[in-house]
Amino acid sequence: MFSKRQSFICVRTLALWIAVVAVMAGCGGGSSQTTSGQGNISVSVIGLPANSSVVLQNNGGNNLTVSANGTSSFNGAYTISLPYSITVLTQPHGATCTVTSNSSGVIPNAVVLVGVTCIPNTVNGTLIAPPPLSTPGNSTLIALDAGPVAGASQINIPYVSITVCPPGTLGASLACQTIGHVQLDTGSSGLRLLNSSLYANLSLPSVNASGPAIGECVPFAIGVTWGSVVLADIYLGGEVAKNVPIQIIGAQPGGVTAVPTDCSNTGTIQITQDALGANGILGVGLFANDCDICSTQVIPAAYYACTSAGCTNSIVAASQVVRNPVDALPVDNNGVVIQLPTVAASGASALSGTLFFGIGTQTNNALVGTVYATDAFGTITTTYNGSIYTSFIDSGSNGVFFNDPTIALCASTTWYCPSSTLPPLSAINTAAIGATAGNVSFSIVSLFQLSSGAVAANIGGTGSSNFDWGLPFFFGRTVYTAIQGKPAPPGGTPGPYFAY
Amino acid sequence: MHTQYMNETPNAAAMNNSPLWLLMVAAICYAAPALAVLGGDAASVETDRLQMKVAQAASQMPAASGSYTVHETILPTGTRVRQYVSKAGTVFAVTWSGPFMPDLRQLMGTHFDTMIARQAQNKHAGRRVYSQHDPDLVIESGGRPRHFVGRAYLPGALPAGVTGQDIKQ
Repeated sequence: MFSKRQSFICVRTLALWIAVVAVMAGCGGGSSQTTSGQGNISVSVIGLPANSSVVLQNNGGNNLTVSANGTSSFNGAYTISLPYSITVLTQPHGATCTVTSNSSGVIPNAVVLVGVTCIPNTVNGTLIAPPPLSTPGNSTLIALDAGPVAGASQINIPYVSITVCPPGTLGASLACQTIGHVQLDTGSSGLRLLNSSLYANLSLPSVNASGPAIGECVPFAIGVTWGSVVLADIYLGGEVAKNVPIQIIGAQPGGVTAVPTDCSNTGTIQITQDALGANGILGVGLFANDCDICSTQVIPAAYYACTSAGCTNSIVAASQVVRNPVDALPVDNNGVVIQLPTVAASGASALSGTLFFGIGTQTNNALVGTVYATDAFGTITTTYNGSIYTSFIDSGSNGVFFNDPTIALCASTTWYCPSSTLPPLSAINTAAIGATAGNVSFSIVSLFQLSSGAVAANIGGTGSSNFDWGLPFFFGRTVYTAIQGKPAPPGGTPGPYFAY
Repeated sequence: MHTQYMNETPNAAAMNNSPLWLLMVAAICYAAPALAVLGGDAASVETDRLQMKVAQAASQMPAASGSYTVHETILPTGTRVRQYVSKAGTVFAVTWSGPFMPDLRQLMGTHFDTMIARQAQNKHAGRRVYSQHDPDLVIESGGRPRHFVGRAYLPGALPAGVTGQDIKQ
């Protein structure tokens, strides 16, 4: 069936290119760039299983069969400035491949390297019934360990377990899956789970039942998550957030195998467990969803409507925007409280703490601390060494990231490696609204002098122009993250704010 | 889950529609100016503006020293982009600041490829900061959804008397 279709495409494509060449001849005197040389298309394939192959196409033809990981090239010379578009024609046995970078564009005056990432197909697993609810059920365990990636040890990644079910799953219906090693992140809002960490028989419906599949691109500073948007009931501790839009990272919305170019133009695409160091991200940040304006304005590298013809930038209904699961809880929904113990200078080989849902809604989550109101973008300011920085408190940052040229760097990294124990450092946090300010004393230890197997440590590194209070800020503190517009405690100051 | 096999490639479907033909013809006849980027020429600032669908021309602010000009553009997403152009006409720095990440390939050109190759290797990098301080290329990108800031510059192309400290978002 494919071979017939291919030959049909090839004939059409050949005709197209003949026509294109004719048109080029008629352009006359255009930019020298259109004719000055030949560009080439190379493909870097990772994750391809042994003894299998993937068939790629350029512009619907020019088939390239790749049977091993590494770099291959499309046959033939390509004319600079002509458009190209790389797609997957035939998936390998046992894996699904996605074009993750440079999927389309015009041939540059150089070799263009197209990235293709293959992920093992998910397999069926034993689904479970929805977990029991409890009262109060507003807490769950936070654990720091080496993480889920075989052969790799993560550091300063706080993990939680959650359970997802198809919306409306009742009682003893065996339709749910518990996923561990999900990164707890106060710096983003919304649940994102790796497709490759989910069972094939877990059936979560598209967020857009009556129309095209919805794709989402979420740029982070270090990489981009891409995937489809589906609905789930999310069990957190002993509570459930029902019918919540979540992102499935690495799923191919509408079967589209190429990551949209505007998405991959914001950073490296992270759709594997190895890249994330987690099975997903539980975003419990300051906002009720991950994009307010995406329901009224088309934003590049955000939401897409996807059909077999590809993904196009699109607005989505407000109810389809990926939502902070805490906001969707029936109670205890105004924010979260995170408690983690202190960590010694040599680091800790294991660490556990507690995530509470709600602020001031139960006896276990009373607000005890100073409130630092953020601006509409979730930032406060930090004064360090006489300079004022935009700052935020973020369990999803695995260090304290700030610029201090007086602290030595570890060789070949941007982490700090002070040669001797630094005296405690000092900074001042100031609320974005109001005059609340307070000193913060913190320490930075050398990444290279931690005890073997440390998974939690007071480490830091160079930053951007932000001051980023990452996970070490949480050690030995109770930190509150309050959702925008929701009084926390009830009747009190509304978020967005951090308190500690 | 969600594993679907294609029975028709996206492009095969698109080929059946005439707009792609027109687009290809247009692309071929379009005399593209030099793309657009860190290390590129001043004309690339205007290319960026068109690529990023910004209605207004970038506002220009000459530096006090007179050795360069800052072209500032507010993208439709609300993110502010600045391109630093030397008197010789070279874009030696770009910065961004705002709620959405801009098209970094558009701003950084081939240096973007350097960044994503490095990102892919960074296992201990944290999710909020990308930082690269090479002799010939500095990139600092940070923030999280709703708040991104970053800058990239070419130390070797800084005008005389200008330092990295002058490159502000």
